[in-house]
Amino acid sequence: MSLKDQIAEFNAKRDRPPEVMAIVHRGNEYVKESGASGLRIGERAPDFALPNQRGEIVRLSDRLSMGPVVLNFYRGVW
Amino acid sequence: MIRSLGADLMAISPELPDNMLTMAEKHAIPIDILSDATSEVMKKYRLWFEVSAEVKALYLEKFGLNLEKYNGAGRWELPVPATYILDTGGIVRAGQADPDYTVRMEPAEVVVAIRKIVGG
Repeated sequence: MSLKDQIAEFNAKRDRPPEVMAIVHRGNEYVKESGASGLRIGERAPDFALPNQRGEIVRLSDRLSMGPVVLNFYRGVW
Repeated sequence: MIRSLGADLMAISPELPDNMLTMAEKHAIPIDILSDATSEVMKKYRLWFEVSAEVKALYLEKFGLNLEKYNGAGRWELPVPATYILDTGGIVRAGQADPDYTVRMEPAEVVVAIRKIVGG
């Protein structure tokens, strides 16, 4: 099953009330209007150095020297 | 699958390192879970936003979710959920960013994008 189908199934089970979904939807529109739209295809990804879960500093450019990188931005474990 | 193609996988959130995982998880997870505790990287990638007052109230009152517990005091800040596939020159070869967190890049598309880079 595709991720899209799995998410659709999850959403159907969760069945959030319309007034809650309206707030979530307005929140998403607010973010779109803020201009936070991310990088474009073909653009160079800015380098960074951040600590990982074991406190080790990970530098993007170091990893790129070893191969392609899949970068995922997520909101949190909650 | 992603790693067997020679690609590295890293995940970035605004959460403080101590709040992210248990000690066992920290050592068991084979990918890098990175903490952007100053929001600097989210901003560089143009993904950073401050949660609207209305959504903040929803999280606090309806979901019992206080982002400050995870992100630190005063940090009602999040990234637009996003996935980028970078070639070895750091160029974005494929990707997706959508404020609607239920819209995600298909893992199969990620694999296709890596295959195009490595020629596999």
